[in-house]
Amino acid sequence: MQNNTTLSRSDAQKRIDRIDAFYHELETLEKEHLFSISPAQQDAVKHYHQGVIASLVQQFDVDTTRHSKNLSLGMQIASFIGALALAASLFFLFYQCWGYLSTTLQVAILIASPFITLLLTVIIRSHEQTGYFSKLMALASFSCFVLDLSMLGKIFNIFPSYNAMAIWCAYSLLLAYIASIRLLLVVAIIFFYGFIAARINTWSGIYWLSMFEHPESFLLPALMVFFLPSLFSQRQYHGFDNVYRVSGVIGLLATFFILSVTGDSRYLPWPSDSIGNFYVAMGFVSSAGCIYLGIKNIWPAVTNAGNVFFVAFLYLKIFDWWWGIMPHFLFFLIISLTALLFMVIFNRLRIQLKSASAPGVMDHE
Amino acid sequence: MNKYMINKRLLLAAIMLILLSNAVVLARVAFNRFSVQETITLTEREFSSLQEYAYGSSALTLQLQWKTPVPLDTDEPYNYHHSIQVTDANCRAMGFSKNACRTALPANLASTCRRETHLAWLLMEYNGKAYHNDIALLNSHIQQARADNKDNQFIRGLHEQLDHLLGSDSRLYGVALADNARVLEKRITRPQQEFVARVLAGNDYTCSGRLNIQKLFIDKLHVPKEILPDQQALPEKYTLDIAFGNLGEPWITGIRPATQGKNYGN
Repeated sequence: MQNNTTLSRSDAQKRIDRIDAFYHELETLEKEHLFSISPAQQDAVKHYHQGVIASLVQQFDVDTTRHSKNLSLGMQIASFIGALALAASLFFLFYQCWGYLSTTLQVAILIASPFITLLLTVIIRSHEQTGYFSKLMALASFSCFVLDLSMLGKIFNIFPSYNAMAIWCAYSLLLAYIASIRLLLVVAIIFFYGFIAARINTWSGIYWLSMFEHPESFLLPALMVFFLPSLFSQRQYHGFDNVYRVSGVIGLLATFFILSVTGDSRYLPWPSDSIGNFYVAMGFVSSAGCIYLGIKNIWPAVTNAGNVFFVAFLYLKIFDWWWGIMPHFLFFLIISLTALLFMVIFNRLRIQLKSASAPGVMDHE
Repeated sequence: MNKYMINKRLLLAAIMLILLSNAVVLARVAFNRFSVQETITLTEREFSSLQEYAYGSSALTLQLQWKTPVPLDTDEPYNYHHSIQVTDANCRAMGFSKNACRTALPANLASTCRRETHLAWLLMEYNGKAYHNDIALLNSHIQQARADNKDNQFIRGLHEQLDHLLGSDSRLYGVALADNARVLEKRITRPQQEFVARVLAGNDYTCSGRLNIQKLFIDKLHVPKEILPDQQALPEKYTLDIAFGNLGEPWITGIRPATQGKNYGN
């Protein structure tokens, strides 16, 4: 039997899906009288697969049927909504009650609540395989920690500081890795962006809350996030590498998009039009680069994100060039023709991706 | 079913993070309140109740009402934007670039005015020269309006503004901006009625040399239950004692109904 110690949950689910596909394909081949295996071989293979499935289900709690997959998706959605609602509930509960409490009691509750919810998260996570209930509690713990520091700031009239973002980023990251929760990883990345952008602005002599007026400060953290999974393997954590890469791509390309529209740069001493054109060019090059990297390394999410932004930049420029100089029907006709062109390109990319991710089929021809 | 193995090092790191961050915050509060640098007594005209109905908050927060002197080069009776005139040297000292300070901007580059915000310090005075100047200015507006035979409704409006100024408007004015607190502290002549506050200042779109105070960092103060046990029972008129600590962060030390306050209205 295969050693499962090096497998991640994602690998386990792919194995289950391959076994299921194997039996469906075998049934089709047998019906077409193209291929059959002897009853003894069939029993041996079935017995082997049952052992593999049982082992994988026990270790990773993967879905073995389409029905259970749909239920899992439903649980994920319910868990997400429940987590957000619980976080909001805790927030409003504290606001409702804090006026009746002495300062000492307020501080004690604020400090104790992230501890208690962290403990509950660990207890629940160590007793369940799916992680849905622990996700709820982990988000509650994170909300309690955010409430903790922000309410202490309010109670003692402390001047706001961007260092709080670094602390919340760290806590969210720790919770994400403790309980293997991608949503908290996204939250950590958002706070990371905010903290690094605030720091860069402060070094440039700008007050940190103005970071959204200077989007260039988000470029460096976006690049750092994109390359992080290449430096530190995330195999043990299902989907974490995708989250890092897609967050990095979105952070980078969205920043280029905003800068190309506003044409406002703190660092480039050029006229607004030149700055806009520069960032459009950067956007095109970067999104093409993301598409190339996504195809080369079989990162479909990165390829898709690159595609979306490439199209967005293209339509931005088409609008800039042609909206004012041609009849509107012609403008939209050109848009639809470029859309058709992209459909052809994406179809070819799709075929390339499929063949790149299924080498076994090609190799055995 | 196999148990999910929790990484103990990560768990310990999370616990230490909660402990350390709270310890740092509380240590900062303790350091700030270790010694009182300044005190000031204000009234409900300067700090009024802010009911945070949107959050259903049961606690009381007081919001600062304050003004800046009316610019002399305008007919407006109020300074709506909390703006203060600064010199070019002062503007540059606060970190604003050449393109944000008008007098350093050549005429041919006027269109390149950059909008910027920087931390600064604001000298606040309570019931001082700026307040009395505003009263005098409004009185002169009224006299001028009468001399110009403006319509009665206009003059009545000016009288209402004067009544508000004398009876209910805040007497706390921001009068000078600088890049560091010490420069302004040297200008304090009435210690119990003047103080320096940290602010966020920004230039306007025309780089006119006036900076707008976009945020005053002491604009909201939490009222602890120890100071006002019944948070819903704030008197209609009251005096408020505020202390400023080592880090310039304020806290409320007392709320007294107006009849008990010696300095109320002075």
